[in-house]
Amino acid sequence: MDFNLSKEQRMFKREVINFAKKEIVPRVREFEKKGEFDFESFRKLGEFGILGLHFPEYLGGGGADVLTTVIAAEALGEAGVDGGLTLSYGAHTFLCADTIFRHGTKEQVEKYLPKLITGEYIGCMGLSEPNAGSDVASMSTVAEKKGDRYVLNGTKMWITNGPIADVAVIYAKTDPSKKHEGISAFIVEKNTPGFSAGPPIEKMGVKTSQTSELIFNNCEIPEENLLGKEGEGFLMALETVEWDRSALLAPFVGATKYVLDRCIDYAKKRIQFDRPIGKFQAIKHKIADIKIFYETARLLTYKIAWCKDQGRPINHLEAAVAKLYVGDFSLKPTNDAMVLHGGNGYTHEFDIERVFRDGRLAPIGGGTSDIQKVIISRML
Amino acid sequence: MRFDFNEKERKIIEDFSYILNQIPGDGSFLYNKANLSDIINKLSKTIYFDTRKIVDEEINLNSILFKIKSDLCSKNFYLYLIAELGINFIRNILEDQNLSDYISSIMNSKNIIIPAYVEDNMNFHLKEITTTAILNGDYYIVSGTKKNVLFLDWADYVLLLAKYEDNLIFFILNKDEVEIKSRENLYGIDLLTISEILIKEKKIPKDRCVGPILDKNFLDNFFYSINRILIPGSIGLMQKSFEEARVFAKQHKNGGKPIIAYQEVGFKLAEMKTLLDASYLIAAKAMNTENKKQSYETNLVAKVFCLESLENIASSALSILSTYGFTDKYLSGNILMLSKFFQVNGTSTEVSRVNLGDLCLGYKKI
Repeated sequence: MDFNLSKEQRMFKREVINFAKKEIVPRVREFEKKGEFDFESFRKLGEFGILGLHFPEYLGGGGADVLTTVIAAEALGEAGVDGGLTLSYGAHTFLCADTIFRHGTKEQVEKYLPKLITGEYIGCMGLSEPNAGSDVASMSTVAEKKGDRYVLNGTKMWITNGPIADVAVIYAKTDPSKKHEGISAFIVEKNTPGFSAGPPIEKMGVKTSQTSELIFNNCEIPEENLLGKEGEGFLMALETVEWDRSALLAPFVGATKYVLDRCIDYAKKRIQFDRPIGKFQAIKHKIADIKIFYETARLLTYKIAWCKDQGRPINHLEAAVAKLYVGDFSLKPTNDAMVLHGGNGYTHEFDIERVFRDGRLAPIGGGTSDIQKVIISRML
Repeated sequence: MRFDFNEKERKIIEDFSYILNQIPGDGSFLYNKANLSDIINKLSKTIYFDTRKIVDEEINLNSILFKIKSDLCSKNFYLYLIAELGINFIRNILEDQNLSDYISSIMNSKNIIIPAYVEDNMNFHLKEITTTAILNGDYYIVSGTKKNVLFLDWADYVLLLAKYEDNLIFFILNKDEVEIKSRENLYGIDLLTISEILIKEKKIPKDRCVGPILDKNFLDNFFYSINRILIPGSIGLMQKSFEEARVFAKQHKNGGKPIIAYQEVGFKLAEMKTLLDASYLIAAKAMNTENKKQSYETNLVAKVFCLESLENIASSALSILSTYGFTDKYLSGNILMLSKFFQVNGTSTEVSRVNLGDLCLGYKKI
């Protein structure tokens, strides 16, 4: 066993933090307040190489391993990038672009990946439906084959990047008589007739990411937009789970470090009863607890990334454990951080409440904590 | 990064498991000192007591020791505590000191040497220590009272902590040389004892002392070493308790189905598994970190997290095991009590939190 990041990984993480602090973080508060997507910051993520970090260099990617990719995602959170932008990045890169890369034809990969890697295109993934969340197999969106085209009908729900995406990976049933084995994946481009996005849904946190319904009303797409083969969609969706539970969790873990650093700084400067509040044991305890969560959560997240790098088969148990831990156990440290800041913690000025709100998505998105418990208990 | 063991490391762990299988799982061996010596001798032939056996760059010794220690504690926590506290601990804390031939021979013979350091108003502050040594020619005259001395019944010797002028000094006394003022069983773990001992103007030759110790951080390292016993031990205990609950939940039926099928039970087990996995990783990291500051910090993180997770896991296991958990067939009740015992020993979880907070805030320097 060896739990140390390499020198190169540590240096790269520092580079990402410096980049994010300079180019993105100064814009966070403005866009968070407006609840708008920050296109410029997204493109900067592309320019810096974050959006395509793990894709091969011949496509414009960075050729990095999964662990390095997770470290970059963590670094964004640690720098203070909001959960909305990191969520958009996650949905774009791991749920959309990665699926096309792994399962697309040469033509599909060459057509979409370079633009997704630079951020010229924004991607999204449509799996959930109003009545098919964790129970994916009960989805009702259908794709009917008609000649050399598929006709999609149905509605997708909770789609991150839905209103702003140029390209979407959409899951629909090509054989409604079957459950998960009847699910297939398709690439659908913006402006395809019959395809529309609903208005952005107002949310508690991750406000800069735009979430909406996607509506398919006799939406016709060419048959070459099928990803992989018919019936393989469910397995493709399962593959994204590991990303959901590593790279998509990593910014939440990084945000805890951001909060920890803010708390340390505040506790040393804030004077009460003639001394910095950091001198009180209750404050030291809170800081220690935040530190403990951060150290344990990052190890679980790194482990999933490391397993992926080893080419191990999908390990849902480990992934569910990481997701459950980061999701459920992150509530107390971010709450502690707000309380430590007193009234200031409740204001927008100090950012802590933003991290608290953003973090509430961790036990919900990508499978709720309850679903993770079901998965774990079934695998025991 | 590497989160698993390589082939060579797995082989060593398997070899140790072979010895482990020959050791009883309960505390019955404690009734006979000869049995205890026999088991210690068995362990002496393994990497557990003799790390010199491993000279290979591909083998991470710290990782292996972490694994076999947690395995030993899972198999027999009585043996683990006695072997760690009575043998390995002394070797660790005295390894950089000049030792007399007399003390070296005692330590090399795998005698059980139990540390006696706690006093009524002293735990980890040197200033408060009242057991004192006065040099008188070739002898020290030592007087004082020590409390909370663990497992004295199985000791061959006592390592007594005292103050000489403004420095720490240790003495090794034959067990028969100390007066036992009181002796009680540990609450909930009947075979283990806790004693109060008295040393009254005892003349001790110089070759039975270690020190005076001039390193002002020695006491920090002393408690750090105790924490490093408790951390891998807690992983073994968690695994034991979790396994008891998991197996029971799959076998025990209610309402016509195994109780694991009920979400109340299944979810509890999922939470236990999550705490166990997170604890395992941070404990393994704590045992593996070489950098002094990072090691101190990670050990504090692990001390708090693992020891509190142990309590949560044992408590949940008892809920799942219901009344069965309170019978001799299961150990989770003992483990729950041990979790509190583990929490208060070394630097307690409360003090560890304060130390960790101080470290984060830059108030404490390593």
